[in-house]
Amino acid sequence: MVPSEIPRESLTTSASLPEGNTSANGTEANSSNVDKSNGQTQTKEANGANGANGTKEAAMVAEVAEVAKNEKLSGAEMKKRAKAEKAARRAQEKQAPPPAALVVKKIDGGEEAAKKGSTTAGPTTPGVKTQHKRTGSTNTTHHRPMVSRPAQSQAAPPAAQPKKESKRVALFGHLYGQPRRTTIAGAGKDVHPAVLALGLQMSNYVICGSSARCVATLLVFKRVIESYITPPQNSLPRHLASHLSPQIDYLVSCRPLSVSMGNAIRWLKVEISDVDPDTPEQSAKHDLCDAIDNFIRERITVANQVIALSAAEKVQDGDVILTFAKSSIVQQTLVEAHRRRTKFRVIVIDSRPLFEGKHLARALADLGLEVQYSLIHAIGHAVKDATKVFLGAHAMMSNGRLYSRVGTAIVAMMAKEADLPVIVCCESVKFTDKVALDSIVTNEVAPPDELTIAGENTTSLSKWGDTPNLQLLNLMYDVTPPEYINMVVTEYGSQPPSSVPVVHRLSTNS
Amino acid sequence: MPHAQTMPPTGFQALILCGPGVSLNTFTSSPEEFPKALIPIANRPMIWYPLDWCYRMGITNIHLVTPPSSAKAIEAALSQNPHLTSLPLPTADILAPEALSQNTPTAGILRLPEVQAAITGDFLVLPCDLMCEIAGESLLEAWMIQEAGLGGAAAGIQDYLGPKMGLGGERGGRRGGMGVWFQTKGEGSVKGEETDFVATTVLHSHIRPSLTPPEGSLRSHIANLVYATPTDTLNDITEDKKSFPIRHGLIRKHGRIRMLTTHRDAHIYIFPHWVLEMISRNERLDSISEDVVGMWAKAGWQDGLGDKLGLREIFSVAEEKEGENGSHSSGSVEDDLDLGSMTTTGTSDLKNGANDASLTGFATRVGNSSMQQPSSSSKLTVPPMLAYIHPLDPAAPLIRRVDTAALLLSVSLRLAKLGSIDEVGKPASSPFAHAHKIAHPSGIAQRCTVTKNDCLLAENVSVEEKCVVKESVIGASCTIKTGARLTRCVLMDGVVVGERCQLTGCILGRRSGVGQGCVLKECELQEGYGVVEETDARGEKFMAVFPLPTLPYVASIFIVNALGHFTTSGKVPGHLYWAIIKAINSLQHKLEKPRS
Repeated sequence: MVPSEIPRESLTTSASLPEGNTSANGTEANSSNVDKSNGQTQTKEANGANGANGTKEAAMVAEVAEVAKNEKLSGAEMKKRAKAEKAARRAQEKQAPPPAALVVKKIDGGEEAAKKGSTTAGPTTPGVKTQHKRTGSTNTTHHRPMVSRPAQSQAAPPAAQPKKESKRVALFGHLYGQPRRTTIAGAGKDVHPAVLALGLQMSNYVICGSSARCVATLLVFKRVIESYITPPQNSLPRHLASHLSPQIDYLVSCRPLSVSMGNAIRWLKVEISDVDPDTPEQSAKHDLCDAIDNFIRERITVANQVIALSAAEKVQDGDVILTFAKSSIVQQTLVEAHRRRTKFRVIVIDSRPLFEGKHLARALADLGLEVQYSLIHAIGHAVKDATKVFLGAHAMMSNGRLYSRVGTAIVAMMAKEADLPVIVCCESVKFTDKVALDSIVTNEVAPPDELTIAGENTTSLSKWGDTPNLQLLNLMYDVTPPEYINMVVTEYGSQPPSSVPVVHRLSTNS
Repeated sequence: MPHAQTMPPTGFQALILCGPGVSLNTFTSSPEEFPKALIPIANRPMIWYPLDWCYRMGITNIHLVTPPSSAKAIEAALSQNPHLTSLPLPTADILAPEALSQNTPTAGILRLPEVQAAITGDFLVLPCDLMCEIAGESLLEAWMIQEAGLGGAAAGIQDYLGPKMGLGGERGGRRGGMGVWFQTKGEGSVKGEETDFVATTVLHSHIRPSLTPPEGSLRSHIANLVYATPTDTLNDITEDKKSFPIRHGLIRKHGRIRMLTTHRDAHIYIFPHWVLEMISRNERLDSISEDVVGMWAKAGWQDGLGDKLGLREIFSVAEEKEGENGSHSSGSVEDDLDLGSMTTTGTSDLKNGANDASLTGFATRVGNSSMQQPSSSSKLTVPPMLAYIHPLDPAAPLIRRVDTAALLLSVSLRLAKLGSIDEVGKPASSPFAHAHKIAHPSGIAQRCTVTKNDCLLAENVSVEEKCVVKESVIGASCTIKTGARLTRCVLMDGVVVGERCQLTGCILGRRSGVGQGCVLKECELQEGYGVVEETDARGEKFMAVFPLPTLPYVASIFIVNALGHFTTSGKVPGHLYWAIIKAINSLQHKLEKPRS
């Protein structure tokens, strides 16, 4: 019964009528919309006013143009709207008491539809028939009032509806950008299946954490390189980099790259461009894969071991180690210390919504360590018992600041307050030459819906989108100033945070 | 919307099993000429639906597995049927292994060497009678997130067989399978539809369940499968034992188990490649849904079952091969890395020592006194079998398997209600919508009623005067004679309905005919069958009584088809047609009597 066309047409007319009102008489627009039966006479008045007042007409034209621009109407729709407006106006002039005329017309239309529409006759009400008819014949002015009728009833909501409130926190407005990709639909044709999966796993936090993401990306790129075939008339060093860029773009659209991933990708691109164009493709690919393997080993696996070994020395008998969320290096350090039969206790501080600390606490408890777990609100209480603080890192900035999971800064500050040594474990691959003074300029905003609790509609947060003046901010990282950090353990040794640029230079030059 | 976005290649292969259609025997009497896969549903061949579904989710590597006897008919349809030829390229390959008969069990199909050779990566197994409105990519995405290997051991890559799967893959307890179950009750439910018994538990995953999944994600309906069997088997068990025994192992392992009895297996399976090896190693696995999935689900909690299925060897063979390959003689990095424990949202299994393989390197130096050495007798992690349980929601997309006549009727009529593309516009229309509700409006006489919103009329249909057609699907080249009334009927191609017939809830096979003045309710007509005039029947199946491939049957079919063809084109007068039909039918009845 062509149901979908009806609202479309009525919508265009609905837009047209109140517009005429507002242009002539802005204040009356609301009242006309509220009072349906009165609305048509008001339109008439408005038309009269238009005719009388030439200056206002110019204003109306301008406003119409503006509205048109806002709604991005096509030329055909504009024409249709103008036609409908004119027809409605003419109908108004013809029929003095609008409601009565409407009823009569309705019956007329129904009969006509019944006569004509023999093929479409079915168990339908007369009302439906008129609607059907209406879509069919637009040239007869008789049916125009019916068109304008639903228009009036529908005109009320848009006028009453306030402007949609932005749910973005203004201070962090520059961080929002594109919303995270949640589906593979629309990804480029060149994106490798392994990259597709990796992107989804990253945006769903299956792979999370700077080192894990870096390793996963490199391993996946190894797959990409393995299945890559240089097209004819291209050389591998030139073309492979351009083949990687859609893969990287896809990963970025799933979740912004981590600093370690950025460093690794930069290294890989240099490595690709350094390939001798004369090398046969197979061996070039093989060399690249080996280089990736070595990179992972040198910069992450072995670096982790070295860091764990040297950081574990800092754990002494009777220590109470406080840590925040989960860092794979910190976990490795604690396991290493446990292996050395050091007697110590661990306090895991955790935060919503990822609860990464739970995984650390569970793993350590399974190993036989004594673990205390609490959320970040209990940090003030937890630091009282602690003797040392171990922190993981997302990145170390060149000005010695630690960029890590949101909440780290508070833990470090509280620890400093309690005169506890704060030790950061961080591989040099996470070092960056960028500087950060605060966590506002550079950060990552995760979808705020993650803060609501899935499947629960009773909490006040569940309908935050509809609550006026409420904005949710789900930041991923914060920045800890160097004065709260006593030591950064890297594979190059243990340094103060001020030595970060030196280590970074060392690691990139080598 | 489905048409709008392009899909990247996901590397999956699809295997569509074109079975014999036992429950649709009225219409699949001659699988050589007209196999089940070609039965029209809402005027499209059945096979169109799974094929279209695959293409929409970006899978183009599709194999239709069919017995050699039906292969020709399907091949011909693929190259001739306008609906099938309008599908994107490349066209599906037909796989007709010699050893495949109409009765080969589903897992047996996967054991055939031809099929084994054709599958080179992770794959989907689909039935040919699948009707699925869910976007296929969202199922694939769910699998990729939950089950795809970590870090390069990823989703269905072609020519990617086992060897490179380290701890990120099978050995690390990832790369499991996924199936789809849907609710049979609710709107469009059909009495006596087959159901399956499934038991699921909360998904054990890296992802905190409290994290609200992004919009459009199926994650909230995905569960871990722990028990799956057809309800028939369940009934047998309960009858046999007077109760339903549950192993303690299940309850020890899983605290909260949800049991569903009215859901049905949609037979959509996403399988990693190693499942093929599991099936070929275990000859006693017969059907995919009951044995493979059922055993796999049990292996997740029943100690020792995974070993019995040979999973340990399957996963460790992968390792050996790697050594033999020698390409990474130094030992690939993947071997030492366990991303599952590196990621901050995963719990490391520190006890097993498997995770911190990176530490074991120097653990020898430091001394490994307190740690257990990982041994071959350590616990086997079986990658989980997941279940997407389709929610019961009238607004939710449709999933159905059309394998009985009642379902054929209800699904066809449901699809007929979808707004056509010319009505609602391309972006808003359902992927199953036709271009027009009535493809050939000029064939409909002036004074008759065809309810356009719930009817679907194909090309070249002629409806004569004073007809009333409500809620019906009418196939190409059908003729509805004067004064006939059709309500809730499905007419396949070339059907002739006589004058003043009243048909309610009937399914009429291809080129069948109904004599004038018949009153049929809920009847099924076999292909080419002619019902004599003034028949009054209810709930009958009109079928030829001959053993099917015999000569007279074929001859009669031929005569009826030819007659029907000429009658519709007006070359043979109608009364002659009915006279011959009558003669054939009486002949059939005479022949039937001595047999019975």
